[in-house]
Amino acid sequence: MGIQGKIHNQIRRLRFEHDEMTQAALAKAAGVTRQTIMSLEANKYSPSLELAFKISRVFNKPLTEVFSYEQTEP
Amino acid sequence: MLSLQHLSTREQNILATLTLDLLVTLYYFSELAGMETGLTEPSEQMGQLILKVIILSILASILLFGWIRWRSGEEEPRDERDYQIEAKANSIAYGVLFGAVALLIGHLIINAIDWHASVMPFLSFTPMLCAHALLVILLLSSTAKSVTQLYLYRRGI
Repeated sequence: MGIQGKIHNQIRRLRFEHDEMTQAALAKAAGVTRQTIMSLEANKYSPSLELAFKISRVFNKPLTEVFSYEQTEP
Repeated sequence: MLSLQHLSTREQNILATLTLDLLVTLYYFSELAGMETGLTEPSEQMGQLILKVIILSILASILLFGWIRWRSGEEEPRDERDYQIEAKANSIAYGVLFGAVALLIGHLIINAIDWHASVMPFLSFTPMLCAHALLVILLLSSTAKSVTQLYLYRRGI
């Protein structure tokens, strides 16, 4: 069995800190659908590295401040 | 209870595809069951039915997908999550297609070697029956794809 883990994010908090940015506005800025932002916030989807960088850039934050990786015991 | 409003445009399109596939197939086979020649032999009636089903499918698709498009207002662009979900659904649909075709081939071979050892010795595997079996396999594969997509959109990947 390989190492298991989950990617967590601070997207919801960061959206509210950015003048209560809507999911649709973030989706448009990152070039994805609103459903993908909803899935990310619900931790139902782990983004590609490219999308993670795009979202970090929208918030003007380093990648590690937006996304974190939590390793779980297999 | 999940209503249409809780589904994204993409999920509504997938649900429409699934419903249309199942309804058209159900209609086709129910009409076919009423024919004297049935599934095994080709007939003029069967040709007319196939033409009717194709025309009905096209009309129903235009109406249903047009209505979904009209309700949503604009076309939803696809992103990486959509492609990932479609890839997983395609992989499962391929498994279903491969498994079912392998079973059909196996059955045809057994049927040809020893007719009495066949699982369905009461059926003579005419080319028309094989075509219908393949049609059912295609439906199974398509259903597996749609169901997987709907499941992954709801549960997440």
